[in-house]
Amino acid sequence: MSQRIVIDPVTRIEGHAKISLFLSDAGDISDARFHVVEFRGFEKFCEGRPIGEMAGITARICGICPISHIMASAKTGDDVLTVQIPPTAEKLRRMMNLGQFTQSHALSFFHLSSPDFLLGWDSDPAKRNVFGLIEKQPDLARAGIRLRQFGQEVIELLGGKKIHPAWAVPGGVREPLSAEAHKHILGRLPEARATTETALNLFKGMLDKHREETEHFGNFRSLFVGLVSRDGALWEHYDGYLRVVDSDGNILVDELDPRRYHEIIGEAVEPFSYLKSPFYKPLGYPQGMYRVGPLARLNVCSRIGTPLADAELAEFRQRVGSGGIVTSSFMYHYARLVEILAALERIGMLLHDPDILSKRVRSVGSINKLEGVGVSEAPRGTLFHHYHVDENGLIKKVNLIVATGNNNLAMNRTVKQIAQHYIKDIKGGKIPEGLLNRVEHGIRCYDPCLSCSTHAFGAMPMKVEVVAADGRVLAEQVRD
Amino acid sequence: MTADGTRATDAPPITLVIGYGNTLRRDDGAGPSIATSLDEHLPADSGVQVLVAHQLMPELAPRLSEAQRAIFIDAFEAAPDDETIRETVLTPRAGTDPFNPHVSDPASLLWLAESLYGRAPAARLIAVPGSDFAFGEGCSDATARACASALERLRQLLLPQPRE
Repeated sequence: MSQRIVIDPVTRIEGHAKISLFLSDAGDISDARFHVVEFRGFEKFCEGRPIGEMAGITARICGICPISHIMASAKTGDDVLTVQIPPTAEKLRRMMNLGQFTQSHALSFFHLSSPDFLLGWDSDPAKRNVFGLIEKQPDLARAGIRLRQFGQEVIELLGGKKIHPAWAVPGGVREPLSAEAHKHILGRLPEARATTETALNLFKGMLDKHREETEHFGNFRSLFVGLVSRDGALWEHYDGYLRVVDSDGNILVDELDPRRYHEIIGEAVEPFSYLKSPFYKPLGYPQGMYRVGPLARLNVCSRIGTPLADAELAEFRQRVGSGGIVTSSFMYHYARLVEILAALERIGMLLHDPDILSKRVRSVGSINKLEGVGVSEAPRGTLFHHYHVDENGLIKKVNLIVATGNNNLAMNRTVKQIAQHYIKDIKGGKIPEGLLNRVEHGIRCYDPCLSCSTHAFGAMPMKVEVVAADGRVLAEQVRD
Repeated sequence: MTADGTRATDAPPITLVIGYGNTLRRDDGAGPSIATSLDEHLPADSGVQVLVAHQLMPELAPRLSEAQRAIFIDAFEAAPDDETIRETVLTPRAGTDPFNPHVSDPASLLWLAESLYGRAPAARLIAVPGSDFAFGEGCSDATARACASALERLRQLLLPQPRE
């Protein structure tokens, strides 16, 4: 009799999800599905709101990465107003986005994911969490807090508060950078850089120990999508062109204006999840699976453009890549650390820009187009905002393709690959917890933000069910 | 006062008051509302630092470890006519995840301060009853009256009282 195993909910991620593992009669994994079980509906209830409110409204999609939505929404507003924002405004928006990358990546690496690879996949699940991490590695936990705090300070000093700052608006930003804030951020950079380099060395030192995870945690051929700079295809996080590469490093799409995203990206919906399944149109669904986020950004760019991060990128590609492309989703963790370093170096460059303290930070315009698109990179990947407005700037239609959604097909493929490798010959539905934890970790590699991607909150105990094809629950295990 | 936390350059306070909650969910905004009112009436040399936070963040832990005393102000769900504030002495406890601001509570944050930074201050929670947590700004009438009681209690705790 075929069986279904349910991991519900998946823990140490943002939002609510569960994983179903389908067993064949022989007790092997025949299929796996990642279900996002929350629905929020921002695309619908934004209709009728003034476009000037959209950055503030869409920021509420998430408390972890509100800045990403503020950036994409403000850029969409720029497009509708058809304004060129002042150069300093763009630099300040970039700085805030880089602060966002730093705090979000630090949370993912130090506090959500590292308990697995630092404390052990099969260690006591009661201690394989942030409490166990603090007990075993207090220095690392402290450093992680400080690094995340630095990213949040950049956001707060620019926007007035850490969460949901109503600062970036169509036409630019509301407030310039103060000299006091400039000095404070500059003073904190060396410590943040040192913490990141320590974490990079720690992770690189563990690579040999995690060869099996590297080989089987989402290691497959796929496309990679991300923004690159208009000049030299450098690592990009705020603007630029869309680029698509395959697992051999072939560039399939290059120099595509992000406003034309819909020419290459289609959106499918599956009945088992509220999360969209975007795909690369020329290959169709589901063959057009692609990945976004830190791993993809490092795969699509020519180089980063800052010395320390470029050296790390070269080592990253040499150590875990093939032909310059890294295909294992376990390496999202490694890529995240390289990106923090890149973000810190870029923040340093921006702080030394002679115009960074300019007070000219906002252009004024009115409704000059009835449709606008804003695309930027969120920590988790490429973020698309697309609005239609009426003559008065009231929203008529909204389409959001959020980073986590872009990775939906790849996340499903990842949990299936991990389950098929580790879970074999299961009779009676009893699976060691450590193996199920590996399946969950496949999702954590992508650091999904389900609050964003479904347009949640709450405690997330883990429930594992083994259910027969006729619906009978054969076994159940609950972890509070 | 700084919104949503503090900065490392600020001098350590003797007493740290943290009012937290979502000001866009009616009575959940009681903590920030009380903290804001308190801050307006504190003398400059009070030794008290007031923070308004949307949620409890792990970054507050080092700041807590530097304070001698901490007072958290929050709302709790109660009957619509309940105006009785609750006061609880807190001890550090590893309960909810202090890195998940959706579930983090004062005791876990105190535990984080003690575990990572060596000490946690003497602390208490002043909780205000709330019944309307729907979308919107401003507290319900009963909660607003409870906020006034909480503010008076905070003045007793924080400011020198006249001798009888």
